[in-house]
Amino acid sequence: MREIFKTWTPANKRFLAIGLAITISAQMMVLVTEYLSSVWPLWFGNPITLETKPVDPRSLFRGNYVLLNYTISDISKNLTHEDFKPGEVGYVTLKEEDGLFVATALQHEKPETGIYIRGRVKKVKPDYRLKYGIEAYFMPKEKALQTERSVRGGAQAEIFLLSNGKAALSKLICAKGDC
Amino acid sequence: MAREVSDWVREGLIEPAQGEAILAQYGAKMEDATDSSLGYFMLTALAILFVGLALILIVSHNWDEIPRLTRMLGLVFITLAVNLQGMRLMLTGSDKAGIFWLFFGSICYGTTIMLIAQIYHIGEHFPDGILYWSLGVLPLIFITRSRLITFLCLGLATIWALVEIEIEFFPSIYPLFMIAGIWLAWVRKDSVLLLLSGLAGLIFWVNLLLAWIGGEWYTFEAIIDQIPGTIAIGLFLTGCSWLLMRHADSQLKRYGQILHLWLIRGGLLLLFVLSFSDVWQEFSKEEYLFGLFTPLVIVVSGIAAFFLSKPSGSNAYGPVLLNTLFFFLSFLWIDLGNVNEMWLAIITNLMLLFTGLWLIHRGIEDSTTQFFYTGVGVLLITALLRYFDLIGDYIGGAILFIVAALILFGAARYWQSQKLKKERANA
Repeated sequence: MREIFKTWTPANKRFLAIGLAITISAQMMVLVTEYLSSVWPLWFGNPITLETKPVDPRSLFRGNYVLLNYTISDISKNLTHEDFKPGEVGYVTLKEEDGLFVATALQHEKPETGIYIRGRVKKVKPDYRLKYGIEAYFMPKEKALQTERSVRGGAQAEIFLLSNGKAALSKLICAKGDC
Repeated sequence: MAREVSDWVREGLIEPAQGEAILAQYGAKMEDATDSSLGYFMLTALAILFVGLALILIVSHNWDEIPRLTRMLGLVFITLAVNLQGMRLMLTGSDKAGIFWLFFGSICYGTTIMLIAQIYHIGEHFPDGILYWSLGVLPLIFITRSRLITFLCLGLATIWALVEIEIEFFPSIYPLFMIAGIWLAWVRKDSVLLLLSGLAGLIFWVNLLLAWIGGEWYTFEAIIDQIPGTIAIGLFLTGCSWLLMRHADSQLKRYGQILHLWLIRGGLLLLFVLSFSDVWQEFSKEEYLFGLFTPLVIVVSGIAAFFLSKPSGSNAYGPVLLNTLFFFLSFLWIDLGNVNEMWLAIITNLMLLFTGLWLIHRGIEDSTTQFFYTGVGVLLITALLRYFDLIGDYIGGAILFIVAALILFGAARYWQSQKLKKERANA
C-alpha cells in the first residue's frame, strides 16, 4: 500500500490522467447537482404567493440583488409550542388567505398534511425569524435599484414549493411599476 | 547565499561541485542565484487571478438579456475546456503551463457555481457555494502538488470559514483543507509559508471550536479556556520545532527554525498582553468550562514538548519547562480562585525579562543576530510598557525596575565570568 502511495505523484502520467479526469468530472457533477437542485422546485413544485418587504445589497460573488423579507419571515411565538435555537431547521405550515399564503404554525418535524415551507431559524428574540433560501432576487444593478423603488409600493413573490418543503423563488410581482 | 557561493566559484576559490555541496546543506542551489523564473511564475499567477476576478465581476453584472440556460452552459463549457486544456498540458509534460490552466479552471469552476446561484436566486446558506468551490479544488492539491492551487484552495476555505462564522455557523471541516496544506508543505519541503498557514489555520479552528462549545454548540462565545488551550498547542509545536531542527534534512531543519521563530514571536506577544495586571484581573472573573482539565492540558503538552526538545540541550528544554511551569501555575491559580493579579503581572514581567536574556544569550552563542536584537527589543519594550503602565504605585514600579536591573547586572557579570573561565581554559 505504501509503495502504491509513493508512486502516486504528478510524475506518474497514469495517476495524473485518472486523478484529473475524476476531479474534473466531480466538479461537473457538483455543477449539474447545483443546477438540478435549483430547477427541481420550479419544475415539480406548487406555486404559492407571498408578501415581501425588500432592500438592495450586493453579494461578494454573485452581484446585486433585492433582499426580500417576507411576512412569514417573522413567526410569532404564539404559533408554536416548541423551543428553537438559532441555526435549527423548522417547518412552517401555510394557509391561503385572500390569494396570499400566511403562516399558521411552526414545528421541528415535517407536518403530515397541508402546505408547508422548510426554513432555518436565524433569531429567536422577540419572535422567531426564519430564512427559507428565497430571500435573494438577483438582478443587474440598475434594475435592482429600480425594483427596490417599485416594491416599496407593495410586492409579492411567486414561490414554488416541493412536497418536502424546499422552496424556489420564481418571480416578483409589483403592485406599482416594473419589477 | 546562492549568489555568494556563485561568486566564490567564479573567482576560482571553490569548484562548482563544492559550491553545490555547500548550498545543499542549506537547501539551496546555484541556479537560485540567477533564477528569475519565480518572478515570471508569480506575475503570471497574479495576472490569471486578476482575469478570474474580472470574470467573477462580469458574471456578477447579471446579463439577464442572455437566456439563463445559454449563460450557464457557456460558463460550464468554458470551465470544462480550460480544465481539459490544463490536463492535456500536464500529460504532455508542460507542467507549469498546465498548472496555470488548472488554476484558471478552478476559478472558472467557482464562478459557474456562483452564476447558477445567481440565475436561480439561491439564497439558502450562501457559504455552501464557497465550500463546494473549495472542495472541488481540494483533490488538485494531491494530484498536481502545486503550491499555487493549494494557496487558492486554502484561501477559499478561509473565506468560507469566515463567512460561516459571520452568520454564526461552525466551519467543521475547515481542518481538512489546512491538513492538506501542511501535507503538501511536508512532501514538497519548499514552502514554509504553506506550513505556517496550515498550522495557523488549525490553531484558529481549535479556538473557534472552543468558542462554539462555549456558546453551547449554536453560537460563538469566547471562553477563557481558549488561552490555555492555545498555549498548550504552542508548547507542543515548540517541541516539534526542536525535533525538526535536529532533522538531517536541511529543508526540514529550516522548517523547524522558522516555526520556532514564529512561536517565539507569538509567545512574546502573549507575554506582553499578560504583563498588564488588568488582563489577569479580567481572567480572574472568568470560569473554566473544562475545570481543572484546562490547566492540565498545559502540563501534558509541556511534558511532550520537554521530551521532544530534550536532545537539543538545555537551551531548548529550559525555556519549555519554565514556560510550562509559569503558565500552568498561573492558570491553575485562576481555577482555584483568590487570584492576586498584581503578583501574576509581576511574574509575567520577570518572564519577559528572562526571555529577553535567553534570546540575547542564544543570539551570541549561535551567532544569530535576529535572536540577539529580538532579546534587546523585548527588554526595551518591557521597560517602556512598565514605565507608562505602572504596576502598583510609583514605589512599586521603581522596585520592579531595580529588581530587573539587578537581574540584568547579575546576568552580565555571570556571562563575563564564564567568558573569562573559557579564555583561561583555552590559554
